[in-house]
Amino acid sequence: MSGPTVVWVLVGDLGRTGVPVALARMARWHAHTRTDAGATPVQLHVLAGRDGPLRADLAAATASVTVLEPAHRRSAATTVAAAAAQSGRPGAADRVRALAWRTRTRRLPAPDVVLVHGAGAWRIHADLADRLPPGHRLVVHLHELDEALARCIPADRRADFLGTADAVLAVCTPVADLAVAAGARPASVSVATVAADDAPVAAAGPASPRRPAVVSIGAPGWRKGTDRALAVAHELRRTHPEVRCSWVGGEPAPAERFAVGSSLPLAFHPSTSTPWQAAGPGTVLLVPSREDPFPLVVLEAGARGLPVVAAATGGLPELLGHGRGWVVPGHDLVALAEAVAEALDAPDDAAARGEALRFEVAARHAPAVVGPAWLAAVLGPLA
Amino acid sequence: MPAVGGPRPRVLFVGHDASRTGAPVVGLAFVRWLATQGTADVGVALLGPGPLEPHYRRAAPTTVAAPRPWAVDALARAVPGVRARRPRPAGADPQVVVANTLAALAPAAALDAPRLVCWVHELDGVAERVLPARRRHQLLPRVHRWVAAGPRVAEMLVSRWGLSPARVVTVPEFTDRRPEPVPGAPDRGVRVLGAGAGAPRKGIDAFVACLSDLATRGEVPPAAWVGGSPEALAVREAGADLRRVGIDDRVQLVAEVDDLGPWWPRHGLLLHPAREDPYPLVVVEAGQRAVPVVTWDTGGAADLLRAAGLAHLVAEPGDLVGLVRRVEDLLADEAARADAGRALQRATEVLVADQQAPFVWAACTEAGP
Repeated sequence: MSGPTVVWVLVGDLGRTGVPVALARMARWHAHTRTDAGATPVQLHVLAGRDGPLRADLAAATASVTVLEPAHRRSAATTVAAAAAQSGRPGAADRVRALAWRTRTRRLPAPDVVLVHGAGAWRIHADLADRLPPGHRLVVHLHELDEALARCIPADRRADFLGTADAVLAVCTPVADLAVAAGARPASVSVATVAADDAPVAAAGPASPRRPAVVSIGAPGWRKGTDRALAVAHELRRTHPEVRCSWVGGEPAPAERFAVGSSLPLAFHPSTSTPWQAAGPGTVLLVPSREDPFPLVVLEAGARGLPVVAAATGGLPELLGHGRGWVVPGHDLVALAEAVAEALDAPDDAAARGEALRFEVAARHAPAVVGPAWLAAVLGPLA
Repeated sequence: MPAVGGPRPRVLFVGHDASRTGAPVVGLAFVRWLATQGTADVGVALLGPGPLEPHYRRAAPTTVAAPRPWAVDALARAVPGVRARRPRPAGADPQVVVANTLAALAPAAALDAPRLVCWVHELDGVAERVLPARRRHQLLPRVHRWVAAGPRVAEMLVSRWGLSPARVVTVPEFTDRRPEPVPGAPDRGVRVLGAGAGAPRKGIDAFVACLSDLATRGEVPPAAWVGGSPEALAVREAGADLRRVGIDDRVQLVAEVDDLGPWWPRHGLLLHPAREDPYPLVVVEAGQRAVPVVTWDTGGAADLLRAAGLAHLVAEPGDLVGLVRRVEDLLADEAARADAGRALQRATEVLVADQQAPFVWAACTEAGP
């Protein structure tokens, strides 16, 4: 019997955001899946650019987790690299950082497969390239649309990186199209979606009526459309003053905060691993993102049968189409607010759409459905 | 606290840089005014360069500090207690040092002049960034008099920083002089103008969001945001929004210009959706040109509009749809635009150096508590 297939999974960070959470779900599924008799076992080794709260989850579900940088500060190596960069020696900066990162990976078994999980891990791959064995399989799982991809991979490196990948997996069709436009070989590109969380346990007893609420979830900022959520909250304050609007995922960055004393109709709450605890009957999920290829929160809302109103971005028109939610152009703020109002005013319709989404999520996004397809795509001929 | 005596007190004006932004522009108007009064020996020390540097040099003897090595700055930021002192500007020891902005306060205080005045052009968010609370508490007692650029800054200083109201004088931002109409001046044909640094604090994203929303109901009027580096993240994001909505041919993102003149709308308005702005000079300039303004209730612009009887042009903070409705209404109503422009012009005609700079100078010289 040959040894296990070693997969290095490179991920930008271990924060509680979509890309790392999607990985954690696959790792958990993989850890709980018995390998078929005769099949080669697979070892997942995670290399994370930055530490974060998902480290423990991943450590429990994979062969190893190697963290290259602390969560909120620079390591000594990157401090030196930053100094070199500021002194006008970017090449030296890259070499210093690459040396430090390669040193941290020297005890890992050589990979048969390198999975770049999210474009945010491109830098790790670039710095470790010399450490990778010839002939390894390179798989890129893209979770990014235009601006995020542009930020993660320099324009002059994008085509080369994507073009040499053995497989490029995209979380939705628009991302797949973007990958091809960015230089990936069309034959190498396929859609590999992401999984919902484990099915929640239904609350016991009859649901008690709650104050209607609109919730948005994510790291506040331009990409997630926090300004749009605030605009909708203002509209609802005029038309539905009884509705509570909140944003779960932390306060806006200091540069994006309003003047002290501003009375905002949108309450900001910290990021949490249990954002759905407060969601009940009468809750509508608003996803006002400018760029969001396939937000996990929509799958999570679907798993709970909650109605979703979303801006048309990434894979959301497909996921929420056919009566599974509301999708409107995100820049049409009045339409966005009206769709939310409709979801609040027509609870039976909202419940029906939530139920349709629940069915879709169970059928196509359960970990047991997504996992095997993901692993097969990652391993390719090594499967 | 003693008053500054002598026939011509020596005054050193310390600015954080010479960029074409609010505080350096207002500071330059003050230095020019003071230099023409002949009542003081004025010197200028700038902690950073910028396009206004030659203008400062023409107004008064000016020293521009050489940039510190990045390593020194990094050390000063990283190690508590380490203070990287800048070299003292050349010239006689000043009797009065005016720190123009909180960013200039620490270097100004290091000069140990008999009298230190701090002219605050920042509100809480920026204040915390340029002068964190720990450092601020060390410096507060060393300032003899505070000049607040507008009532919201004064409120911050008194209510949230605990300063005695007697030590704070409020002077709204002002221009050199009221602009004269120039017959035949170039006109870019813009109907909705936004201006300021390409940053979320100034609301470049909200400006684009408003125009994007307008696009859902008809043709977007010719518009421009002037200011900000094309490389700035918020500018790149704004550009991405415009392309996504398909209005990048109607809405221009223009880097900083020497002269905003051609960009002022002749048949339109200034949209000023800043998240935090104590007393935006661009709003004063708009008023002096009788250009109406639509804004959020996030700073001095709202106060100025209310004082002009234009409270209906102020939306709640973050209310993008509220802004859009006000913009639509004004664009559609020429008479309302003219009325609003005239009202704002009346409210801003006193916001010129001749009328406001004497209050700043009084704070520099008068005895206080």
